Amino acid sequence: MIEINNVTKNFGSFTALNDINLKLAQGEVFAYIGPNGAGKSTTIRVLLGILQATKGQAKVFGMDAWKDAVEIHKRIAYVPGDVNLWPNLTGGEVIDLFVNLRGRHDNVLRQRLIKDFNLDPTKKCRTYSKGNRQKVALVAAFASGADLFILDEPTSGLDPLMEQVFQDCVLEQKNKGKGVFLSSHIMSEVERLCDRVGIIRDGQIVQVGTLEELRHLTRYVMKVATERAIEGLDSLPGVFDVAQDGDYTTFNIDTRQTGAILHHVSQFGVKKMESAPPSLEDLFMQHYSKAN
Amino acid sequence: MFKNTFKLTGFILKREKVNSTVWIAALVGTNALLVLLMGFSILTDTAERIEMLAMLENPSLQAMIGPMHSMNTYDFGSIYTLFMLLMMAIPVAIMNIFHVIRHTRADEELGRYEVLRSLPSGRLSNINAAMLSALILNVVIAAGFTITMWLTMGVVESGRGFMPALLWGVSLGAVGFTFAAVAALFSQLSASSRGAMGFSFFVMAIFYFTRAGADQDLSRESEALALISPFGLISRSWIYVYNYWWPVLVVLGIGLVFAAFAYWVCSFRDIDQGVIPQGAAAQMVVCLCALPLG
Ligand SMILES: Nc1ncnc2c1ncn2[C@@H]1O[C@H](COP(=O)(O)OP(=O)(O)OP(=O)(O)O)[C@@H](O)[C@H]1O
Ligand SMILES: [Mg+2]
Repeated sequence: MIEINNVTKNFGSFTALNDINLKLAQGEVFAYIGPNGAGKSTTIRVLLGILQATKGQAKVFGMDAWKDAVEIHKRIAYVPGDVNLWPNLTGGEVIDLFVNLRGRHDNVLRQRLIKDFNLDPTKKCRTYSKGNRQKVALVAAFASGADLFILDEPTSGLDPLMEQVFQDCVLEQKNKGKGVFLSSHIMSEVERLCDRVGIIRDGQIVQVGTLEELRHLTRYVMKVATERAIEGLDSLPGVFDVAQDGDYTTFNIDTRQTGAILHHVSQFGVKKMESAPPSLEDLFMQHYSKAN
Repeated sequence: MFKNTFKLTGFILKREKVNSTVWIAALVGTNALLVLLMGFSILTDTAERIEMLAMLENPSLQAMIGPMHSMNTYDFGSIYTLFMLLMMAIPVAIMNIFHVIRHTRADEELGRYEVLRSLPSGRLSNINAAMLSALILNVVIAAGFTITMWLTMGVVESGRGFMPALLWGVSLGAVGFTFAAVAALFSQLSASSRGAMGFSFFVMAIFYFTRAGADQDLSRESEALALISPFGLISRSWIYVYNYWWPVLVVLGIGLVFAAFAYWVCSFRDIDQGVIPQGAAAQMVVCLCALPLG
């Protein structure tokens, strides 16, 4: 549904996006993550055809994001991370406006979403909190019947309960075969919703793959208690950050060396052993800070 | 490019309902009151009017309020329009500048425009809606001024037709439209609404002072200078004297040129970006203000 080919975006002499390539397939939820200022919103604005790529081409539904923006927008819904509304209109009036401009809408779904998100659409936007403004945009988006959802940190300001409602909405759309392009800083959200993850840093894509694939590229955490102290662990290839924690020795391992490391450790009489994949948080931390 | 313009125009007018009604009612009401007040208390007979005109035959006063015509008519209508045309045109221009910038750059700066653009609306729909709504406001302004002028002038002085009142209303509406277009252009060129506002008012001041330069020359030898300014042009309609319509057409033409330029910039620029670098506005104003002094 989305195809970004060698897109570069410069702001004056500053390169915000440097030769980006991405794809999103039908029915896929794609998480787009990266540190602040990495270029996530810039990518999304290129996709929306409100920034023109300096080089390369962004396509949505096979159409050019800049030239065919109006056609594309009939079938997408966008929610920014900081929704600003017109203070004198009520939430309901704003949703009506969006519906009116789009000309397509599921009214039953809208009523249900308003209830699920616990939104009072009769209040003026002036009185809404940040989270409530997000809800207005989310209700309008999910009730739109769009084929592709482009969400830029859509849940900033939502409480955990509403975060849950949001995640259910995304899964519901996914089950209908809709595409979701989600930029997020919330790792639990990414972990629960996404099929594939792309990591961007300083305007460059550093990793793209399924969560499983990304995990494989990283180290597992091992925690073992042995009868005798483990010797020679430091010098073993694929072992990092050895530390003693009471009875336990903890260290990180390169998954490709798992066999050899287990063999070595077992010589010292293993009593207990735990192994955990790195938390998503660790994983991203590693990517975010790498090569600084 | 223009998809959904009419829906967006309706949306703007809905948001403007109260605000614009108050503005227009205040302006039109002031006009009606002043006609009655001046007509019945200050300029009641020919002697008073001759005295007034003699006082106005003075370069600095004409620079301020506008040019006097050369014909010796001492009717109330011509003196009133001489006094009040620019004094009414300026608030109309200001109202239009505020209106257009509020619905273009200010909306964009606050992040509302981004959401509208992500909906199926064309790249030029929003600026087009801002201009169309401004056009509608100016038609209402023109109608309001025409009717009040026609009615109150009829009370003060019998025998004044409808056409001069219509010319009065349309002149003011046309000036309003032109400054709406000026504001539309700067809303595209400047990346902030404050910058756009600054440039628009700056251009308004330039237009005001070029015609002041021309009008203070009582020999009327620098007329050409007045004809590049919408303010100078509408003064040359000589309402209630000659009642020329061509200046209105020229004023509207100037507006269309500004609008076309604004649409052109809007068709290629990135969201949240201007064309004039930030800070250039302040520098330019400082430079230009320093010129006459230095
Ligand atoms: N209009 C602009 N002019 C100049 N630089 C810009 C402009 N817009 C964005 N940038 C720069 O481009 C870079 C990418 O910004 P972007 O908003 O895409 O980051 P992001 O990944 O969305 O960050 P965040 O997580 O904070 O939302 C930033 O360094 C930003 O300063
Ligand atoms: Mg962002």
